Amino acid sequence: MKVKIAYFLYLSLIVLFCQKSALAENEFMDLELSMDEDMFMFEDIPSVYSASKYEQKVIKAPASISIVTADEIKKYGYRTFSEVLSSLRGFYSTNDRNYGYTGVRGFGLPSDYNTRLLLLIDGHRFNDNIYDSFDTLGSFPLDLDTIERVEVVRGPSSSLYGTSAFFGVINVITKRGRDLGGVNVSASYGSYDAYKTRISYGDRFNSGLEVFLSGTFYDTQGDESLYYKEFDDPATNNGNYNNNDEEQTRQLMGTLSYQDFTLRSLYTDNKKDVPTGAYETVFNDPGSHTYDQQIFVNLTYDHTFDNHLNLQSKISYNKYRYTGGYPYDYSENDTPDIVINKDQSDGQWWRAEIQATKVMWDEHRITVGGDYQDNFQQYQTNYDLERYVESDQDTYKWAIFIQDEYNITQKWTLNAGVRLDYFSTFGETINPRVALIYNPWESTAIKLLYGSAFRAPNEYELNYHDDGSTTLASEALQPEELETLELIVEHYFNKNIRAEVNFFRTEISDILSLVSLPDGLLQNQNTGDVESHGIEAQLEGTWVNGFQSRISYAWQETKNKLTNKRLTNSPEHMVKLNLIAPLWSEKIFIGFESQYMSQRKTPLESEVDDVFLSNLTLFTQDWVKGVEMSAGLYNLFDQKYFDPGSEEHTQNGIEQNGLTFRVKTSIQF
Amino acid sequence: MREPVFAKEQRQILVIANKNAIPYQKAIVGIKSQFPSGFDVNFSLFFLSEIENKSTFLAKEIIKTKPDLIFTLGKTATKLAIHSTKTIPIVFSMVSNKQIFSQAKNVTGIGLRYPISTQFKWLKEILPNYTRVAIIYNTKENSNAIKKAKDIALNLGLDLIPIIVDKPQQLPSALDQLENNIQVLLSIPDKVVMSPKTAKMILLSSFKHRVPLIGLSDNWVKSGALYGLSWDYQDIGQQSAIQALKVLSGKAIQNINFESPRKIQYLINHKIADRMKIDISEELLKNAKKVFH
Repeated sequence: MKVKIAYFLYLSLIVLFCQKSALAENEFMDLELSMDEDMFMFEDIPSVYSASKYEQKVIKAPASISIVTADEIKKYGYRTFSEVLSSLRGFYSTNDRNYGYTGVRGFGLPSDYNTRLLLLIDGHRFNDNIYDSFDTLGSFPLDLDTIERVEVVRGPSSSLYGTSAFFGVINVITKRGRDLGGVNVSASYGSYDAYKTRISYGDRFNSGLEVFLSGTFYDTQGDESLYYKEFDDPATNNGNYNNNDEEQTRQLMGTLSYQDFTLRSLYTDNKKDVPTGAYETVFNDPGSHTYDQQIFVNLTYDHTFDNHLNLQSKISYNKYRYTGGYPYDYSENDTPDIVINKDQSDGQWWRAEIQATKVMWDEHRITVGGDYQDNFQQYQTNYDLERYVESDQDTYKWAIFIQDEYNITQKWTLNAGVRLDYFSTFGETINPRVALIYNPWESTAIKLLYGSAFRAPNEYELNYHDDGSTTLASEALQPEELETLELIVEHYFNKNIRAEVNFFRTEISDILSLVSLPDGLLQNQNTGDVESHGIEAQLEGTWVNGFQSRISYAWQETKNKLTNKRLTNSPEHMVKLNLIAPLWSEKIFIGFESQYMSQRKTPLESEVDDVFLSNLTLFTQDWVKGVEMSAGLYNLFDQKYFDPGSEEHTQNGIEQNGLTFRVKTSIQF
Repeated sequence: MREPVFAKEQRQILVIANKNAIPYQKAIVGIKSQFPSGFDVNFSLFFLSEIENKSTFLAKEIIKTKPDLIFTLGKTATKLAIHSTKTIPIVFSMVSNKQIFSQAKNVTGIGLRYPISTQFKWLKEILPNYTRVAIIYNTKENSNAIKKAKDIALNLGLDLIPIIVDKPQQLPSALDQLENNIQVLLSIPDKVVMSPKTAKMILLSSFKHRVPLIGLSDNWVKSGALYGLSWDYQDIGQQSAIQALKVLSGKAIQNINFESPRKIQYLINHKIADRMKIDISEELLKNAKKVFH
């Protein structure tokens, strides 16, 4: 393993330092006449919105930030949001062949459903109101082609965003009409008979009206020859799971903007067969599947007054539906009696937000705001021959927050904020974040951060029970709490090369989990504390000829405080190399990435092996005006690897795909 | 134009330029070329960037050469000349905001700034469908200009959206307003807004919001503005020499008005136009002073 890490570091340092700086350092001696050789065209904007709820330089942001652009998504050939996230330092993805889970800083409990990360779509809170979750695979709500950029803010952000902003906030910013300027159609085909078609239209008219519309359909047969040794028995088809890994996704989104108002709407649904025999369902039965549907309509008002007071308000309607079919054999003799157990959740909520930002007393940028959410439907049920679970709750929550970015001197900045959240289910919680940022030079930032965050018990944890047949109702659940202390050093060696090193220490208390009681019953309880500390380091370079590279290393130790044992699905080491190289100026690019992850513990007290994955994509554009094509190979060296299974799996590890491919074309009219 | 009455003795003329750069060199060529061949003149040329003791050198040079007239090229050179003499006529050029010298009585010249009416006319020519035009400015320096600009815009069927930035800290929130309801950002010389420190932020905001920027100079266009009105530096030199010849022929300098460049040129950044999906006609591209691809 150490050899592999050393190889990564060596290769990446060569790649980074062999590039000559394409441009001279920016110097404006006389603006009128001597901007000289400097050109800014198409540089990435080193700014971030999501860290403080307003646009600020990354070097001033009170967090460690990663940004993925639309250009990178194309050139690396990413197919899923899971692939986007797992390319980032400290992030890793887990796939149980049903949903995608994202781990960060060593915390990625199997079947966590991403409840400890907050997903924003254009600033709109997307996590649902039943599980407080989102998916990074087929149920992820957006076609990656419609994404303009992804901002990832590491660390606790509950002081601005409330629950689920626990390990980080992911804000996905979608394309605007002006970004498209016409019709764009794409089609792709890949392994497992996977095809995807998309049509998008966008423009900004002279009247000021701006429109973006997009629709996507995706279908795959999936892997038709899955094998699990844990089921290698004639009674379970010798471990072979055939013809039951199909998936279909439909996505529609629309954005309409006029002056200060923007109306966004999104519909997504996904049906996925579950080919793992999870929850002790009948192995290799075609009835095992999940269906997820999510809808939102969001109206935003965003205005900056002449006195530079920025006012933003949002109101949205949201809907989430999940249904699952789980086949069980109720036969008491040799003749099968397959019954599909139905699991279902329906959530509806509306949400209102308001915030105001203004620079005051010259050096203070103050943001105040609040939000209210009415969960007027939180319905859960489980039934087959009889109904085991039925619950429908009406809950609400509200919050107020304040944040001040105080430029003490040119070199010192203090960013401090606090938020009070009230939940009708458990009461109130207060979470602060303080960042002291020192910029000894314009190219360097040293950030010392402290923040706390919480994850409220979700509706599933609160009310999904069968009155004690197998699961007891929970009692007085409280939110999970997290405290993080972090030191970040960022430095730009020149306008092309940047480095960042983070040291973090996190303590989590009152983790919510399903506990087996002495009488064999299950109950959700606040139990267990976790401590985690680690280092993340990254060196990255970007050049105007289109060459980009980054290498990152993350080491983390995340342990259960009671047992002093490493958590399940928590790798100790991760090394990542990303590289985009122009093969033909502005026409052909190669995107290459390699990721190494050390072994991970599984819930069955075993391990899955370390993983070394590489992906390669060839991307071309503008041979014919408006036409882009790409071809990608994923898991290039056909590595056999596993992600840890979770409590509902019999398998120790779920085998992942070997070498796969995808070809894709898009045409702009 | 009335033929100047030339004195028979040799005229001493000082030419002070900010630095030895190509635009200044072209303007100097223009100045010299405008003087008739029979005109007995001695040009003493200095580049401020090459002079160590800038504060005292000009006073010493004035005593030494007793110049009849001083040409200044650039703001620094002009400021220094005004500071050094209240009597010797000064003809400036290569200065963006000529109004800053309006208090001095011995000064005239050619400013680089085109009148706002000219800017609007070219905006309608190059971007005929763009009507919502923002200008970011500080009130202390530009409020009068903006008042006039509003009236001119209205007459031309343009909707001028003025955005006030009196302190640099207000610039980010001003640029955020490009996202909504603004089609084009017109830059004007402004000490708070258009400074070397803000240039990058303005250009990058223009790209991000896909709102084209009309640049202040050639280099703004090269760096990422969609287009900018430009100048023929040699012609500016000639234009300022014409003013100087009037002075030397006996016309009072107070009666010679500040002028804008007479020969209008423009540059286009075609790469930006492509990225922002803006169509520029072939004719406009053909007639541009320079097109960046």
